[in-house]
Amino acid sequence: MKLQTLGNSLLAGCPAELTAPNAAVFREQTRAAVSAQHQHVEFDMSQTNFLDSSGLGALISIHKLMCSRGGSVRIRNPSPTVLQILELTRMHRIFEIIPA
Amino acid sequence: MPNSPDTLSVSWTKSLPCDLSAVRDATVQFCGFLREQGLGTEEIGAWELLCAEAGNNAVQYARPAAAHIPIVLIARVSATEAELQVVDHTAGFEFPENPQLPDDLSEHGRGLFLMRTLSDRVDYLRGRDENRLILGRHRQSTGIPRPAPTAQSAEAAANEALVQSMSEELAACYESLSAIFRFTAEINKGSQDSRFIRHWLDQLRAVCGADWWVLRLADPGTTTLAQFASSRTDLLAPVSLDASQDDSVEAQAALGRQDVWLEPTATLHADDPLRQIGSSLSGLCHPIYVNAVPLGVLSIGCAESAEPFKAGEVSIIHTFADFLGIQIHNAWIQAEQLRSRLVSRDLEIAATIQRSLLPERLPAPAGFRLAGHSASASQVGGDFFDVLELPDEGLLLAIADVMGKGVSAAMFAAIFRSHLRSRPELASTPGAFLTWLNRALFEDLDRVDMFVTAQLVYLNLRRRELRVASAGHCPLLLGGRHEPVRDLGADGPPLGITAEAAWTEQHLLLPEDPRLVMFTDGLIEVRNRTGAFLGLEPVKACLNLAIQNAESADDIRKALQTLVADFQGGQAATDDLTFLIFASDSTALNS
Repeated sequence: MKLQTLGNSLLAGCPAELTAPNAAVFREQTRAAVSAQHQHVEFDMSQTNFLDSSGLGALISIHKLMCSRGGSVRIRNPSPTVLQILELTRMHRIFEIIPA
Repeated sequence: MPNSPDTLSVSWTKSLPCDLSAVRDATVQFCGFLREQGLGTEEIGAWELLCAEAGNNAVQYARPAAAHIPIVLIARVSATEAELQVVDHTAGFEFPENPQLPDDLSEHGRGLFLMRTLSDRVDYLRGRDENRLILGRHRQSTGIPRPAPTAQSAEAAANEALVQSMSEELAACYESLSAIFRFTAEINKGSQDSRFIRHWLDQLRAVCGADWWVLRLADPGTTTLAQFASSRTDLLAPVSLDASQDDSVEAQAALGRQDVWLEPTATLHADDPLRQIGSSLSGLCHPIYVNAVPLGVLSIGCAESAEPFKAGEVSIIHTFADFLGIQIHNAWIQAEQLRSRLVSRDLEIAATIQRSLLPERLPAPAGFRLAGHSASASQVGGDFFDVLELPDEGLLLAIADVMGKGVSAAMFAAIFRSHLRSRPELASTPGAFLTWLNRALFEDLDRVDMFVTAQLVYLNLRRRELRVASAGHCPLLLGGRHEPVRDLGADGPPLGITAEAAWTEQHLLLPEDPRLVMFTDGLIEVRNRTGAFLGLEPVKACLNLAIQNAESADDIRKALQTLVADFQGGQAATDDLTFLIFASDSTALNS
């Protein structure tokens, strides 16, 4: 998992699959990387071709963390498949989605 | 019994350990099987999620005693339908007929919703030792099951799917991109009015498939949102931004600084202005901020649809709203700059008028000289003086201070001067002159709550006579060779206070070698660095010294300017400063 700080944002590269087997590890790694300087977390999902409800739960967990700090979560470059899941579960209303 | 696929089906079975990673591997294999059967990319995507959710549930909720028992996946594909059965060893549960999405911030509980939404049929058969979840979907692409593809044909199919996906994505983006480019081009043309914004929000409505929108802008104090433009005519009611008074969704969006979604299942508050459209709506209220300054709220939606906007549409709504915010903000800045330029130009014109009110050249009667000074603290002030030459060696000296500063003060100074010059026959009776001036100006001054302090001095040089009348003005200073400087106090109220006021006048004889100074309050109320006023005494002392040194009117002007400048100690003046000096001609006396 690639993590990088750019200004007040933490950029996190999401894995090819964000699913039940790796969602908990992904969530904990991201939470550990968020520091006081981070106002936003940006998930780059350009390489992610599959997301299930457990992966979605991990993203929501980070969203809650950032909201508690007055920040936000952005999802960058989601694939059509990922976007469809976000829309089906109405999470596109919660996350700021930046298309490719 | 559940419906079963027709008999010409192809089946696939997988037994896997009760482990999440094994579920993932099995899901990938299951998708490979579906691809072999000719299912399309979109269908396979749906099945991938169905298999993952069903398999994960089977692992996560397995009875501890049965955790060693394999989970079984059984798939069947026919020409018309695909089916997946998942055999689990959980305690079992009642699969809800209509599962709902959990709260937005819940990290769990979306699996059943996804399975129900993506399947055409769902059955859950509970048994004593095992349960069986059966998910079915109609096939989108019809056809008989295909033989396993060769490597080449699989690559071709993958390429075709990729091209198809790219084409769909481009097609979806095209309309949005095209609208944004046209919008940007329009912005660069400098269009700023509500018609422009209405036009582009109508475009946005078309792009997003919405059927109503309303844009409300915040007032300067951010206390209310007022309609700026709307696709409807019945949304004029303003929205209060006082959270304790207003429950409207638009106020919630503005105050919460985040999108508020309108759900058909939620009923709007009885007083919500958007209820004009319907009691339950589907849509989005998006707050518009520029540089953390709240500009307004854009609300857009559908009266009928239960699911108004997809992510791409939300993105374009945000983009349009941000463009709009910048455009409106820029328009406000431009309007403010224009207003500022106009005010500045007005002040320039008024300053020119005010300067033109002052005499270009002062009279120089035999044996006497006059000198004057007038400077405004701001661009335009209300001070002015004038000198009229009259028959029979007469002179009228006038000084006035219009309350306030700026254009209005300068305008009244101009009116005062016109009136003063229109009745020279009253000059020899300055008290009566002030009474007439008050009657002439009262109505105009009273209407704008302004007043004028003024002092008139009639001099008859032949008879060495002086008549003084004052309307609430500063005293004048008068002295001569054998007569110390004294101040002649103000009589009567300023002009514009009472309509029927009358003014009297003092009659005096000019002293030998006289020095007379008329001034506005800016002279004695000038402040030093500690904030203290200059006062009258230093001015009187300056004038006594001038008499002692037989200084000319011009010398006295310079001495008073120096006195003021020294006292201020380099500080900027806060009030206008005007004075008029009448003195015997030292040159003539010396000669």
